[in-house]
Amino acid sequence: MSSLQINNILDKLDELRSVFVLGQRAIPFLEEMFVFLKDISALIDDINASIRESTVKMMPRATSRLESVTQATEMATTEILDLVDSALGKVWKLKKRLKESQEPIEAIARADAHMIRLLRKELRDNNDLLLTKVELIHHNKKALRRKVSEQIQADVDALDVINEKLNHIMIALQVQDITAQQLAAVNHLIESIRDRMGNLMDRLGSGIKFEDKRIPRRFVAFDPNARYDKSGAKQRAADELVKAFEDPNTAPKVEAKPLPSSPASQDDIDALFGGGAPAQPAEDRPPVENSVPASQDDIDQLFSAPGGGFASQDDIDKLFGA
Amino acid sequence: MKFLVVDDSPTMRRIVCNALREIGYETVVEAEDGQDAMEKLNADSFEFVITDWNMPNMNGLDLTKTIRSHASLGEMPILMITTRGMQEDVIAAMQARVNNYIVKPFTAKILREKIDMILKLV
Repeated sequence: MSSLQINNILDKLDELRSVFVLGQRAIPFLEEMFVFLKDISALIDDINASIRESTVKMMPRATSRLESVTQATEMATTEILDLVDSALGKVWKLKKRLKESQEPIEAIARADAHMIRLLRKELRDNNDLLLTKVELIHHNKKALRRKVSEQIQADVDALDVINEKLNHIMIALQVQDITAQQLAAVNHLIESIRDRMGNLMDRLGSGIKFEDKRIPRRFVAFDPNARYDKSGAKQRAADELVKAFEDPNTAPKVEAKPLPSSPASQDDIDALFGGGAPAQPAEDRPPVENSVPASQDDIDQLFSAPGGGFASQDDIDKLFGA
Repeated sequence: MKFLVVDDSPTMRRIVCNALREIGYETVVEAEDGQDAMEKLNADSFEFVITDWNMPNMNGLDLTKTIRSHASLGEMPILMITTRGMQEDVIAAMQARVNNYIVKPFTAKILREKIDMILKLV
């Protein structure tokens, strides 16, 4: 064995010693790291369980409850519409009957007028007293007929008011359609969030295949901005735009927004939760500043801290570029 | 005058039909979306279409465009009744050539006014 070979072996042994020294210095850091990972693993388990619970149970339950609310209000609205329809039918029949009752009264009036003409002719010269009494009865009958006619007209007017009120009730039931669209918009957002969380669960390897837990989605068309606004402001604004279109020179040109049939965008979700920066998938995220791999010098510097003490959390963060 | 009322909400269809009857239009047929409406328009003759915007299968805007591009139905009076009240919505509907536009919730008075306005112009 030559001296060169011995020197090579000594160099290798020196490197090996350095590795052992490094290992010895790294042990406290690794121990700290181990404790840290042990601590956060419980937290990650909790988060995972919470996501699983929300995604697999709570969100579908919330969606299903919102759909139940829509169905219940739709059923209740149908019942109210049935009752209003039935009441309107009765009001209409009553009005018809009252109007028809005017006809016999008018026929009686015509018959009475004919009778009084005959009596005047017969009694004028030979029985003035009887004629006076007949005229008085005729006069009273006319007053009574007028009173009955006025009463019938008052009843018809009252029925018109009831008819109008019933129609107002019917028109007010549009609120059901508007709230159904609002609930459908919320459901759409919940399902979109659920999809994303499900994908996250799949990536975290929760053991539950999210695809298997997906509930069949029925397509519900809705306007995310639907509001029950009776002020008429929107109608007035729409009227102005419609008017502007009467003249091709004043017709505004704006592209329509796409309908919300696709999954909710991140902006929609952010808007639901009150704003905030849009999240990005991990692969689309810009690289974290200082995330370049640590050099050997950085590592050496870390382990050659004065006194050979434990590395601080800041040092570790700096090392991993956080 | 024969009306076709197109809306995916049975409640809204009923409300619009009742409002039409209230203002004197008795002959009303219902369709539950644009596709259903086109089938009915092709099978029967109508003189007026009242349509919602947000519907599955074929929405009110596409229904309007389909009617306008149809050889024999192109001039059909169309009134849109919808919750969509944003400026760009009204403009998009007018660009698709609806004859007038009502934002829900509407009253029977507004419905009568818009129908009268349309019938006066066509």
